[in-house]
Amino acid sequence: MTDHPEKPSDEDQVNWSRRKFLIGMTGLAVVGIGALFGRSAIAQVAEAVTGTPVNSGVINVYTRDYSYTPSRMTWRVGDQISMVLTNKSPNRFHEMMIGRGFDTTPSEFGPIKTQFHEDFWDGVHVMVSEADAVDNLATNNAVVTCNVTPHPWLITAPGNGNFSPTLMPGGMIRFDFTVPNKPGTWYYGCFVQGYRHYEAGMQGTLVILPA
Amino acid sequence: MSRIPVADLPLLSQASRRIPPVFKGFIWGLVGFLALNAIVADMSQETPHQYVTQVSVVFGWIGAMLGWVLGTGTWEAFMKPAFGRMSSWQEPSGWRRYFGYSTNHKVVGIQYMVSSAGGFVIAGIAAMLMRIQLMEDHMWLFQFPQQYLSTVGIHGTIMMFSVGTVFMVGGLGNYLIPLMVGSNSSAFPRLSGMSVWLVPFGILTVAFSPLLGDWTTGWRGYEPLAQSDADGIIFYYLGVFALLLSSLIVALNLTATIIYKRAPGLTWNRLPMYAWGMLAVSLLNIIWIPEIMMTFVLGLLNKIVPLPFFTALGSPLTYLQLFWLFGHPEVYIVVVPALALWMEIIPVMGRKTLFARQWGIIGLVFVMLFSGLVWAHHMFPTMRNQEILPFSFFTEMISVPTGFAYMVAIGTLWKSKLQITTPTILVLMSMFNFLIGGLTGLFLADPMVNMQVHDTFFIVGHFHFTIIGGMVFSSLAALYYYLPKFSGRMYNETWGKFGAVWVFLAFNATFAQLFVIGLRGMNRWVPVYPQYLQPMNFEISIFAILLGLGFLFNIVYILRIWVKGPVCEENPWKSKTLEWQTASPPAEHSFASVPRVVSGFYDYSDDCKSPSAPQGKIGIADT
Ligand code: HEM
Ligand SMILES: [Cu+2]
Ligand SMILES: [Cu+2]
Repeated sequence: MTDHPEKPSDEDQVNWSRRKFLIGMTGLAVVGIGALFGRSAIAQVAEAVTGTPVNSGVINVYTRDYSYTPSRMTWRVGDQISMVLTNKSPNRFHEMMIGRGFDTTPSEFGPIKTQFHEDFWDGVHVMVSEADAVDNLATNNAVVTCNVTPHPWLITAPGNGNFSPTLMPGGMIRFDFTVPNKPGTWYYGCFVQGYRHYEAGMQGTLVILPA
Repeated sequence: MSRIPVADLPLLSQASRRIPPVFKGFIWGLVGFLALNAIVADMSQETPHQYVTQVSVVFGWIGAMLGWVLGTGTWEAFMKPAFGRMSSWQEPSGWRRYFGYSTNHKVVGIQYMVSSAGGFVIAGIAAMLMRIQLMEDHMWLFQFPQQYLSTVGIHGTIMMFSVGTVFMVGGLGNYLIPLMVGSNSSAFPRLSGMSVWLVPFGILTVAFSPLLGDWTTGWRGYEPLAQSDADGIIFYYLGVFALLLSSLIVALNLTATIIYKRAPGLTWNRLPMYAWGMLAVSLLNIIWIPEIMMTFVLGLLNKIVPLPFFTALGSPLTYLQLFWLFGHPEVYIVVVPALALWMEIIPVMGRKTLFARQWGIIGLVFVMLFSGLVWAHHMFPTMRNQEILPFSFFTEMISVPTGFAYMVAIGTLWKSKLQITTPTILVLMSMFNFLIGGLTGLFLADPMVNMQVHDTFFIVGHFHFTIIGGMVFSSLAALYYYLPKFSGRMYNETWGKFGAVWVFLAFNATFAQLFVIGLRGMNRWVPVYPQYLQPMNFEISIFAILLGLGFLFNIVYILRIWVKGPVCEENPWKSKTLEWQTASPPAEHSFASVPRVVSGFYDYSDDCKSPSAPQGKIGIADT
């Protein structure tokens, strides 16, 4: 009753080989487990092979729930850069700090990271040329000139955390600067909501090439 | 089915050219994903360009599902004929037929069982990871709390939607129900040949969800909490959607099979208990699965569009209501098959007529009818007192029909000549565990206690006692009981009992302690906890790992017997239900001629005649 009348007869039956099947299945399992647990390793290898291009001129950086696009950048000392930071999240504030090492505060569950220990922007001249729906800009020790008037946001004075613009959902800021002479590997991250965004993957790596 | 050896040489060379349908499924699935994802991602305006976006991954996933289901055989066997072309599908023979499309309900049943067991193993590994993390009171296995929470979510989701909902319904149901009602096929064989492939697809989607980011909502996908999760939650909604779609198709198939495919003389009065159970469960599924599938679609839209259904602009509590409206009946979807199975095994092993059969059926059916009345007992802390009380009352009331089913089992055991076989002791263990789950459930239905133990490990203990204790132990009983049917081979009683006692002891040692540690203040969904709870958590984890090994032992042992156990007689339990009147394992066509049922199946008084008679050669019913 379930048979199709056109069903081929037994003699036409062909089968695949047992060995091919076992090898294939094992292969798929290995690929799957590799993808699941080794994805950052795979990404690093791919990057070591292909490299990331040196970014210059206008650079778009997007903040999302909980990631940056791109999550890796390479700049060269002395280049003139305009960075346009846009918050793509429909409902969350995000920020972007750049630095190295961590400052921490103790808690019940062990130390919580609050910001980077070393601030990339220390002493750097930054000009804000466009801004919309910015919640606040912590200037810290950067030398900030602002061309947007009146300030649509709160500017936070030095001593209140790393240099970081915090954007409302849909917000953007554009700032121009010359890459300072600080070659090496730096990191960027969002520490909003007590480090939760950073843990959830909102982090990136910035490589500064010497001039 | 004999293959002709003369054709061996050409056969061999052709053999190496044919791709196993599962691989074709993978390839087509990959192509489907890449194609649809690329089209959608291309339409996005952003620079720098992102290849996988929230929206594109959803469409890519749909492409992958279509590719996978078509590639595993649906294209050749179902779509081509539907377009009027000749079917080019050749069902392989032997073990190979289990790795592609099949319309044979026995093959489909085993495919469901194996997929479900695969889900059990994957989710079980997740459980072990959680227990290893909980051996210490700080983060050590996982780096971040979100990773623990994702693991909890993956464990719960795969267990509930691919094991709890699937093993005894999609698996045993597809295999047994047509046999039990004396039919050679299920009502929609082509449909179920297709739907079974959604199960591995759904399991893998959920298991791979961390590729898109960790999610923190557990198996319920709670909005608006899910809003603050990374994109992994998208694969939760999609994976569960695939699993539920599969279960919905099973429900339609089983209902139609039970209603329309019964052999002559098999009246509703004579319908076997497991068939009644499957009917009740399938009706539950048909009512509640569409409801929860739409809820998940709303959750998905809430995430990717985004629409404000469940955010502060919308109605934040609505998701909870919608989820538990399905979530409580889900509990009965898991447990009703187990209750029905007890009533199937006990009379056979006790050689005694089923006690108060009608009340058993009334119990199953009323559990089904009441199940939609109690959902809010999962949300007491969000409610006012006058709203709590009716739900507290309904919840306690639902134990009455459950009690009917339980009493049928006890009444049948009473003064029976019980043979202590592995299935028997597994059923008795299941009854014992389920009783503990039920009794602690009474406390939870009580608002004062509930407020105290809400979201502690007391709850985790309670539901594992009902689900593992009730459903998983019954599934093991079913596996041992039907092993001779599936394979024609018999397990060894000593090893069977060894496996049963192992899991029983390890299970109780693990989960009984959860009640205590819950009362002492251990909260759910926390990977770090106060120091004073650490020694007890450590000990629980040791027993949990022993339990995991126990399940592994049983699975491996059953597979071993299935393949090369000693051959046994066709009806070793001397059961009277129709599935045992076929050969073991059943032939391609289970019944050479459609049987005619002349009396009920549960009369085991010694001089009773066989309840069915073979019909004339033609197999046409004369009643
Ligand atoms: C070896 C056996 C098992 C162990 C050791 C185990 C352990 C656990 C643990 C540690 C949790 C998380 C508790 C928390 O932090 O909230 C959990 C949750 C859960 N388990 Fe199991 N489990 C096992 C088997 C099962 C089975 C067989 C099922 C169902 C068929 C199941 C269903 C669930 C569900 C639904 C949750 C809740 C998940 C959530 O909150 O999202 N478990 N289990
Ligand atoms: Cu952020
Ligand atoms: Cu409930």
